Formats: sequence, structure tokens, C-alpha cells
Amino acid sequence: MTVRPTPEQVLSLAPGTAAAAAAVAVADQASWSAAGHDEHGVWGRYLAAAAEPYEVAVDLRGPAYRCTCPSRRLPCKHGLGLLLLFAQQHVVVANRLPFADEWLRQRDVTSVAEDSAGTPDAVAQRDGGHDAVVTHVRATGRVTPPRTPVADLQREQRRLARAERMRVGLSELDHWVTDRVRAGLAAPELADPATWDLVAARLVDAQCGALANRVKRVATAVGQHTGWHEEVLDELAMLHALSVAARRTSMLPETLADGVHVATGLTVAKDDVLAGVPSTAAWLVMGESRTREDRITVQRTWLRAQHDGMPDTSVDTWAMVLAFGAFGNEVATEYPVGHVLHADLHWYPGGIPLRALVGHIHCAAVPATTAPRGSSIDDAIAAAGWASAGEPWLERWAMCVTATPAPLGNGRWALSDSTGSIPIVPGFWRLAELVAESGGSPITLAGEWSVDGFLPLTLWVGAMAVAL
Amino acid sequence: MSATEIHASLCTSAADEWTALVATAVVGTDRHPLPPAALGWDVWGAHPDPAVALLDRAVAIVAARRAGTLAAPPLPTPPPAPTDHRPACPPACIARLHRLLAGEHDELLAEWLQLCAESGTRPAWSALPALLLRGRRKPEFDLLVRHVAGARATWLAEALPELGIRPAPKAGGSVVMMQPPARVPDSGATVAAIVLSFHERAATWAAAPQLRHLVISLEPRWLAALIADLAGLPFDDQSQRTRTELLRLAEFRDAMVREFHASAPTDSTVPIDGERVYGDPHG
Repeated sequence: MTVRPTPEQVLSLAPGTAAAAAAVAVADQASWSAAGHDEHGVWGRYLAAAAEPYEVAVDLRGPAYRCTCPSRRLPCKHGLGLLLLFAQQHVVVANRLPFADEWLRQRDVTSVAEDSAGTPDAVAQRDGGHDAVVTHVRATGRVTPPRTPVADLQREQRRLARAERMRVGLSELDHWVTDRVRAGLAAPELADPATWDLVAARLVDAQCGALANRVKRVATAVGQHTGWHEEVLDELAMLHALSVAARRTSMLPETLADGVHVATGLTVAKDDVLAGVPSTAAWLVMGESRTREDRITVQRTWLRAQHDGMPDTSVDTWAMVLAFGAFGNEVATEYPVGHVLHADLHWYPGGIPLRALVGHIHCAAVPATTAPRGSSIDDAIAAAGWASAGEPWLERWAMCVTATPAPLGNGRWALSDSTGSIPIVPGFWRLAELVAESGGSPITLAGEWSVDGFLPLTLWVGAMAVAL
Repeated sequence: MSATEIHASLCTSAADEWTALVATAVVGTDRHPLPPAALGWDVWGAHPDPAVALLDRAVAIVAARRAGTLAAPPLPTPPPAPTDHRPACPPACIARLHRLLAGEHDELLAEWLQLCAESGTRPAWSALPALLLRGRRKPEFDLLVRHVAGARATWLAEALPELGIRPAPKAGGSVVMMQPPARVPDSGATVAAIVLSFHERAATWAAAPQLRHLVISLEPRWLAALIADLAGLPFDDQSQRTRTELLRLAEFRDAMVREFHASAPTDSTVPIDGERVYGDPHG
């Protein structure tokens, strides 16, 4: 049995007066399509000016909110606006829209679990004398903690302004990419670095830094070898996919939408990441790589969960921890390669769990006592394929293989075992050490897999790590 | 069709599809009509703009190819190196070798190799290329490296010809294998002489090379005494730099010898003259 709230009660759920005002503005019947309610929930599509309609639903039993807008605050103005519309009796009884039905059913299951177990997923907010339990349980079980309303609102406004700039930038990028295909990759302007620099600069202005770096990397491929047309079309197709996907995130599954946001450069606040449910394990620091992107040194530290007592576990859990250094400054190594740290890792949102933050460290890093298990080449490639299926724009994936260095000819080398072989990236300059260590027998190597091949990062001699 | 046949057919049509897309993209959709999608790759409704349609189709191929990458067939690997039964020297020794190879007190490199051979261990193989490359212009050092590394050095030169390692120089020729500096006849007196040079204000920076040579020629068991004496000297502005330099060298060498001593395997097949190298100076 649901009691219809009064408009005053709805507004008291808003985290501040500005948020309440925003909700009132949204509670305009003309902005909504297919709004309806039943005894448990209210739903509708909010017609946003600049994007696909947002799918909004409110579970009246919580109340709990769901909205596909880019806002990460809960409740967002769309959820409150819808509830306000409902309170003003502007919403009619209707059959549930499919998305609302699916979500409310999920909620049924979650609410039962919460009631019986009393999980900490429910975050209670006391506001204006009304006890309102705002629950934010997303598909992945992440929880948004309460924040101060004013700081939250400002942060939200900045976020939305930024999302809008990005949307415009992505639109421009897609036009540019399409024009290149229209005019032909052989057109002379493609070979002019200035063309690319301009596009990259526009993307930086639009705060799509991650994409700007991608564009710059594509530019370096132009004219480099006989197959460069294929490489450039490959990358242009991915830029097209990302720019289209980023403007349609409301139609994507939530984790994929998160992945698109990260790939296009929408940053996620550390607090939000740290608020997620951690993966606690003994993490072995498998390797460290650095690349220079524009004026920033990016350091990737690859961690792998150690499955103690489960040596047959075939699925490895990898995590990538990023650190950044301004140009010229080295990034300090925080987690030494070859050490094990028992810690909570919090995942960034995305299509696959990959980037993470180290949260609470239960036990300081100690040198590993056992050698990491190296997989076969075939298994490692299959794992990379699964990762790529989750996020096709993924540029790097970590591997730890046990295989033998073998010559490919022309000075190129590969790693080979009975299941297959993978090339080592051209220009890897510490090959002789690997060959000497192997002596024609398998060695265990951790490294990064990319379109260029395998970049060895760490050679494991027993439990001892030799950073390459 | 079986799953394998479907897979094979999709792979073939994917290659055709990709070739057609690249060919059209190179010329541009303004000048070249976009051919219809290959069998099985008509994955989403064609966009009315041929350029967008081309990109849409390219995304499908690229995503499928990235996710479906297979490993290349296995490759022939180099013939296995002859078996070496010696254990690798301990991690501390390996770390010190890397410091020596990086140029820190590298006059001690020959002694490190000799200590390694005497302890019945082998160097870390990953350090072998650097050792061999160092020997390219120093045949007598090359002989020592190959003596310590054994058959793996010859194997590496053959397996990785691009490293540019010459065949092993012939032993017994005009080249004599490098040895660590000859030990001074009376180490106790030498320690006293080094310390005296400081008291007599003779330990100038110009004299440092000779003093360094004395430090690396001492019996290792006298190093501790030298370190204690040098550390106990009163501060003297003129000789401070030399003193610091000698202290660092003596400490480095002392640690290097102790690391091998601490780890010497008891079942070593190579006899170790423990009294001569590692004896207690106070015993």
C-alpha cells in the first residue's frame, strides 16, 4: 500500500534548496513522455534537450531512484521531478515500461535481502524532520555515500557543464572522422600533422583528454608502413564507436556506459570509487610500465590477486593502478614490483573491472615468497579477448605467461609455447636478458598486451622479480 | 553448418568485408560507392550516410577481431642451452652485480666474478649479456666472464647473433684471463699505511687512485679494521673527500665478500679456501 506524498514532502527529500528548485523545473509535464505509476513505483522518460531521453524510475517503497542521466548524485533532479509530478497527481496509473519493470523487480529482490541481512548498502539521510532512506544499490553493488548538499550541488553543476562540453566535442570529433572517410584516407590533409593536432586540441578543450591522446597516437601511424590505411581505419572506427556511444550512454548497459565515460575522459571522483565495495585479496605487484602522454607521465602498476590454496583457478583477477607525474617529474613507485600487499582494491566503473584504487592496506607490502603462475599463450590471449569483448577500445591488457623466447626473423622475437606464440613489441631493448635467462627453456614473464604485441615488464626468476 | 564451419566462413567473410571497407575508405565514399556487406556482417541497419555506414561496419569488424584474436602458431625455439647444475648466486649478490655493471666501483667486477666461481654458484643469466658486452673490447675480461658463465655464454652468442658477441677467444693464446688485483703481501701493514697517510696529510684527492688500489688489494678480512680506523679519524677538510671515497669502496667490497660467504653452499663441488679469503682477522 503506497501513500502518495505531498509536494512539500517530495521537496524535503532534495539535498538543498537549489536542488529543490531544479526538481521543480523538471516537474513539467511537457518534458515527460510515457510517465506512469502503479502501487510500487513511478517511471517516465525525461526528454533532455541535448541527449537521448533519460529513463527515470522511483521506487515508492524506499524511496529509491534510478536515472540514466550523467549525474551521479542521488536523488538526481529527474527522480525528484518525477516524484513531484506524481505528488501533484499529474502521473496516471499505467503498465510499467520495460526498464522500470526490470529495475523494480530487481529492487524487490534487493529489498528482501536488505531487510533480512541489514546490509550497509542502505544509507540513511535525515532531512527536514522526515526519515527518508535513500538507497543507491546499482547493478554492481556500488553505494554512494551521503555528502554535504551545497558542495555536492556545486560539484554536480560542474560535472554537468563538463558533460555538455564533452558532448559537443564528441559530436565534432565524429563529424571530423566521418569527413575523413568521405574524402578518403589518401587525401593529403590526413598526412599533415597540423590536421590531427587541431582535432586533438579541440578535444582537450572539450575535456576529452583521453580521446585527444588516442587521436595523437593515430596521427603517428599515418604513412608509417604499407598497411597504415588499415591501422588508421581501425582507429577511426573506434573513435566513431566511442563518440557515438558516449552520446547514447542512456541506451547502454550501465557498466558499459561507465566504461564509455571513462574512455572518453569523464573523470570519476576518487571518493566515489573508494565508496564502492572493495575486493580484498593478497595482491602481487606484477609489473610497472610508464608512458608519456603529452606533458604527463602515466605509470601503470599491474596487480594480480593471489589465489591461495586455489592453484587451479583459471581466471586471474588483474587490476591496474594509475599514477601520474607532471612532465619531467618521475612518478614514484608506490608498490614495489615483486611484493605482495594485502589490501582492499576499489574498482573504477567500467565494462570490465580493470582500473582500481588501493584503499585500506591490511598488511604492508612484503616480497613474494612464491613464483607467480604463468598461463599458456593460448589462455592469455583468450583472457585478453574477453577483456576486449567487454571494452573494445581497450588499449592494454596484462598477461603473465610461461613461454620460451623464439626468433621470428628480421630481429623480431616472439614468446612461444605448445599452444601458440605472441610477438614481442618491436624495439624492446632488453631482449638479450630474456633470451639469456631462458636458455631455450620456458621463462615466466609479466607484461602488457596491445596491438603492437607483448611488452615484457617483469621477468620472474622463481619468486624474484627482475624489472625490465 | 557446424560451429567450426560457421566460424571459418565468418572469418573468410570478415577478411573480405574488411578489405572492401579499407579500399572504399582509402578513396573516400564521395568517389567510391560502399559495396554491400559481406555474408554475416550485415550486423546493423545501414546508415543513410555511406561514410557513417562504412564506419559502423568497420566497428563491427574491429571489435570482433580484437575480441577474437588468436595466438599465432607455435614457433621453433632455439636449441636448449647445455644444462648447468650450479645454483644461481643469491639475490643480494645479483643485486650487487647489477650495481657493479651500472658503474659503481666497477674495479671490483673481476673480484665479484672470481668470488662467484669460488662459491660454486653462477651469475644470474639475465646479467650475462651485459657482462659479455663489456668484454667485447677487453679480451682478458671476456675470458674471465666466459670462464665463470660456462657454456651458456657460447649458447647465447649463437642464439642471439644480433647481440654481436664474438666467438670465445682461444685460451692459452696471447690473452691472459683477467684476475682481481694481486693481494698486498702484508695487509695489516697496508691498513696502517693508509691510515697514516691521513695523519700525515698525504691523503689528498690526487693520491686517491693509489689509495683505492690499495683498498681493493687488501685481504678482505682486514677491510673491517680499515673501515673502523677510517671512520675514527678526526675531521680534516683537506682529506674528507678521499676518506669518504675510500670508506664507500671498503664497505662495498666488504659487503660483497660477506654476501658470498654467507651463502656459500656447503655441498659445493668447488673447494673454497675459507681461511685465506674469509678468515677472522682477530682469530
